[in-house]
Amino acid sequence: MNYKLLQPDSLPEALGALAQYSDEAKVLAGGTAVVLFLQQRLIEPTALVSIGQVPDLAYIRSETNGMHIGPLTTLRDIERSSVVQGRFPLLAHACGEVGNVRIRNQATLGGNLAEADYASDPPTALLALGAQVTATSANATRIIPLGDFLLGFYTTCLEPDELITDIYVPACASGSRMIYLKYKSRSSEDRPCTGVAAIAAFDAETCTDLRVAVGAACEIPTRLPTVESLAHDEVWTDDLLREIATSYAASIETLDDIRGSAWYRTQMIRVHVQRALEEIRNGYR
Amino acid sequence: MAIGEPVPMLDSVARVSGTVPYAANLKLPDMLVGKVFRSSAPHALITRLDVSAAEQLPGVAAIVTAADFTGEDTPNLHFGSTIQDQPIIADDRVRFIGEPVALIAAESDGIADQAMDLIEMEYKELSAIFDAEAAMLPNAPTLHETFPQNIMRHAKLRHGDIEAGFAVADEIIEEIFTSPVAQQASLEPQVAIAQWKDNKLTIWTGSQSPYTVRSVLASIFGLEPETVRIIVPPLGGGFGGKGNIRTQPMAAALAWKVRGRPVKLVMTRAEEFLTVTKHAAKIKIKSGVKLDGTFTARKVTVYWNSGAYASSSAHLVQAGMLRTIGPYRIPAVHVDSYGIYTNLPIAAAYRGAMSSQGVFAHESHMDTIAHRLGVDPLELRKKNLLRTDNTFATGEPLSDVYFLDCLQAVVDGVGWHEPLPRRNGSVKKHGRGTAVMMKNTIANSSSECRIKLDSDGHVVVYISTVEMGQGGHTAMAQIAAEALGMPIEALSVSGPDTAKTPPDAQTAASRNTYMMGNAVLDAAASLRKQLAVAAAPILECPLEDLSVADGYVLVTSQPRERISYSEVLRTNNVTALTAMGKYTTNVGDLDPETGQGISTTHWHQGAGACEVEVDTKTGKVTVLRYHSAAFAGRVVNPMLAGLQNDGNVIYGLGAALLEEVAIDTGQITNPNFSDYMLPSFLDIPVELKNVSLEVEGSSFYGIGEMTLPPVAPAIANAIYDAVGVRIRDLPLTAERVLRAIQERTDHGQ
Amino acid sequence: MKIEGSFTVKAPLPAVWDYLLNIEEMSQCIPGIKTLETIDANNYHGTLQLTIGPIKTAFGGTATLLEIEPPRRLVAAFEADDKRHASKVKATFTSVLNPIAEGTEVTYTMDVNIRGRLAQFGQAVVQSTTKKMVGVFSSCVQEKLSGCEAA
Repeated sequence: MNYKLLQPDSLPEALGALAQYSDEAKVLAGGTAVVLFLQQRLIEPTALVSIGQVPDLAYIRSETNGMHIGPLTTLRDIERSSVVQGRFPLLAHACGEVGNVRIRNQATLGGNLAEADYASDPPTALLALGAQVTATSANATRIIPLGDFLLGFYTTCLEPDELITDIYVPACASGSRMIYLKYKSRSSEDRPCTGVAAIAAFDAETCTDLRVAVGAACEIPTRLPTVESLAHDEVWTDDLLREIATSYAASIETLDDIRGSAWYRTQMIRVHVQRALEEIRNGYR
Repeated sequence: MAIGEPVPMLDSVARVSGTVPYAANLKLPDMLVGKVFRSSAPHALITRLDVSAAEQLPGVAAIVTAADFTGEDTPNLHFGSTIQDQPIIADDRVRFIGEPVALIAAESDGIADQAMDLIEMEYKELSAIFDAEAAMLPNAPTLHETFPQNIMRHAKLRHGDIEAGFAVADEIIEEIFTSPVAQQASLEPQVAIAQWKDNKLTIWTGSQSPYTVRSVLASIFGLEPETVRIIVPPLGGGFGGKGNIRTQPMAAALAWKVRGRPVKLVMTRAEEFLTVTKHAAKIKIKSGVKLDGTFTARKVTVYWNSGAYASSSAHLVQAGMLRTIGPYRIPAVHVDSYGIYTNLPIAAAYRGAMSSQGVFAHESHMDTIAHRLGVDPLELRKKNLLRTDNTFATGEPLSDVYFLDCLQAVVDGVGWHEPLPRRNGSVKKHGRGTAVMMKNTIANSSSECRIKLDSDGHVVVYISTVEMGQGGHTAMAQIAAEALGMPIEALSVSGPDTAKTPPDAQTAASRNTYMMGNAVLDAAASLRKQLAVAAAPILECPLEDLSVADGYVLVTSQPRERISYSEVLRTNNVTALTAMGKYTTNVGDLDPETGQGISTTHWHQGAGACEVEVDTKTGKVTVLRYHSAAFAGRVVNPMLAGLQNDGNVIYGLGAALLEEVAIDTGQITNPNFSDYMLPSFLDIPVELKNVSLEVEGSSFYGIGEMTLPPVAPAIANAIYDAVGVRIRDLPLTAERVLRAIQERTDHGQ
Repeated sequence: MKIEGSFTVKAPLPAVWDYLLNIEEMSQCIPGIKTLETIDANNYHGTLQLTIGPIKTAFGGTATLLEIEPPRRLVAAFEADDKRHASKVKATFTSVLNPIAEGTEVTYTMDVNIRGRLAQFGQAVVQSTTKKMVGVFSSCVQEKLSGCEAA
């Protein structure tokens, strides 16, 4: 392993390094993914750009219209933040489900999104929440909806010279009910076999908005707006919830891995979308 | 008194402050890093191996290949404790993906990695075989020419008239059970540091059998055993995987080529899976029973997938033969136990060697029989469990067996007769299951010990027992302390170091407390005699009127006439007294055609019972309550015994529910702990309890393994109780359970 | 691992068959292919680069046509090494062509074995990457054969 270790202490310096090394550089934040790839000798970057010293990249800022989270914020900090727990308990919970506390103390939200591992919890929650990612290079900044940011296995739309510099979660309708269900088919510390994030808003008994994201069972977290709209302006009956769950299961192409076959994951999507909606209907918040 | 006290581990402070000197952390001056270049083909002839570029890389001290072993005065390439079929590094062919082909000693990891990339190997692939049963077929590729049909060992048991037994049966039940390849998963990997100096070889290694390592290395290098020194620091876990001999020959070969500088060889986690595994097994079990629930016959065929080389499988296959039968009265029993070569890494001992696979089969089978007969699985066991004076399938009479007590303890603990929450229409179903295990110990071996008492009143116990976190050293200190009547603070334990501690067969098979415990008692008795002899002239008393107790030699009839041990030594102008102790057992010779004979000195006995919850929509199984019992004879340390029992159950949750080495045409695809799934602390049952049964006047029985094998069948039986599906293949994954539930629903049962 | 699937080409079966067996032409549709040399009628040597997330592979190896049953069925074997990742991929590929209303249905079965460091990377990723490659390949074939009318 012969790489140059760079430890920029400002954002311009970090971005300059990425512009210089382009796709021969790898960004190191918490290291919980990159170090494994390095140890298994699956990647051999020319330069490792460690951004841990770059200031002002770890924060949680609550504003009227939403919340900004810095890319170097650890999953543990998000999990434990009373601000996040109050406004977006779904996100606090999903971050808190990752691995174990030792991993969460190291892993960052920016790193988690940039890695785009399918067997992950936060991206599913963030997709349901309609999150946006800010990507910055030396020359430009752009804001990308998460659905357009995650492209495939370990693949995002980030250019080699870009860093994630902010994650924005827009405010939910007041009184929204939300839940993240992580289904682990093996041990309690396993990665998800299937993850379901659901957020719903109600006007008395009638649902005014529903968003359901399924992750870990497919290549990238997925929402199905046409199926979600089945719930709009409706009172939630058992038949409706079953229909939504069955449609999600039928429409998502599932994958095979050591945590379950594609067939099994299809069943788990159906079971857990249904369970998530039932919990919300029962008043889960 | 020390025996029976919950004494903390002697090195418990070191354990929690991270100062235990594990071999993996050992650094010696001038040390080189060793690495292994491995085969990427499962079965192939090596057509070209070019290490010249690697040898010339600056910082590379030596490269070792089979070519180093071809001269007249060179070491032997092939080794093995029973069958010498394993080359230190591949000869002209490779027999599994991951087989060592070349060894590198370099100044650093980085340089060693670079050297690996410079080695060029070309090979011509041969047909490969991975399934044990298929490897026995006529057109299967052969791994070793002298072993036709890849049968490395066929152990046979023939007891009673099997045809007649099946002829009089009312019901005949036949099932096939499989266990996958799994891994011992010690936290500390396999380590060997070797140094060759002045024609003497020293190895620092995490091994469960230092004297086996010494003897095999001596024969590889043509040395007198005394010139080979094996030093064993405490192990970060062993679980059978560090028994026999593993990476030490490779480290020794590097040290031999380098001469002088020590070479440290540490396996990476991925390499651990290539170094040793747990046998995959396919067990065909067929039983004849009468309607009244008594057995008439049992026939078992077991195929042990032993991997590419024999290693300890050569004798484990015979042990395994006995561990697939079950603790029941069966008048006619036939077992064929096959150890088969395949193009996979070597399989060897795994905690409770060969028992887990066998007990999963016979205890699951027991419940199938019970359900076929329409009787309670608990009652069927009670009716048939072996008792003292019964005969086992080896023809040997049994004594001191308490299977019924073990079973009763666990079913009482789990509340077998209490009603289960069975809410109709609930998605989650509850069920209960139980299992009993029986295992022979290593019947013919020896343990020796030396105890030294110095004039300060400090005692050192020199033993080759390996401390691997089980508390083996602590238990020996307790036994010695009690036998000498001294406080445990006055004792320390030293070893293993073959230059300083006398021979012991190995630390495995739950033999230490029994064998070394008795050797310690022997040495202590001898030491007390020496003390009495030395004290007699001082107390002016004949020997027979003296007693030795509580740190004093005293006149039995006048206890105030006494002198302390220290005084005895000082008065005699002696700095230390030393006594040797030994304990040997000598049974275990079974007839090679019939397996009849005395297989063990005493029986390992255990049981487990559990309550599970099955989510019928996901198939996920949660173990809510688990009670285990082991017969311990006489417990030395109740706290450590309890931890062994509970620890076994937690370890067993992995084998039962989670663990499987994934192999794709010989390539292991999950050699890491993200994909190979071990249980988490959060998976431990909310109620986890255990009991170590004792009997007045009993000897030590050992307690390292007994509560492990019942875990998988107890859970499988509980799953059947909950949802009516029988899973015969481990692990009992959620997907397997869900598929079985759906199949059952589809068939309208 | 086994990977199975099918795709449709809107062109008559004989045209599709001829195109697939014209290795020099057809190989240009393989995503990531860098070079291809003909050794003889049934044996080819090539190099291919594929990026899967952060991993950049560079394979060099051989393709051998094992069975050719014109115009319907072909079986090929591939073996390629990625030296940078000390890995090897071996695959057998069986394809059967069926005439359908819209043109030709190409079905395939692949038996893929990965050895070495890449083997740990994950079955899901390999399957999906392979299927994507097939998707790109089939679109490319379609494009090349557009202008052929269905029989």
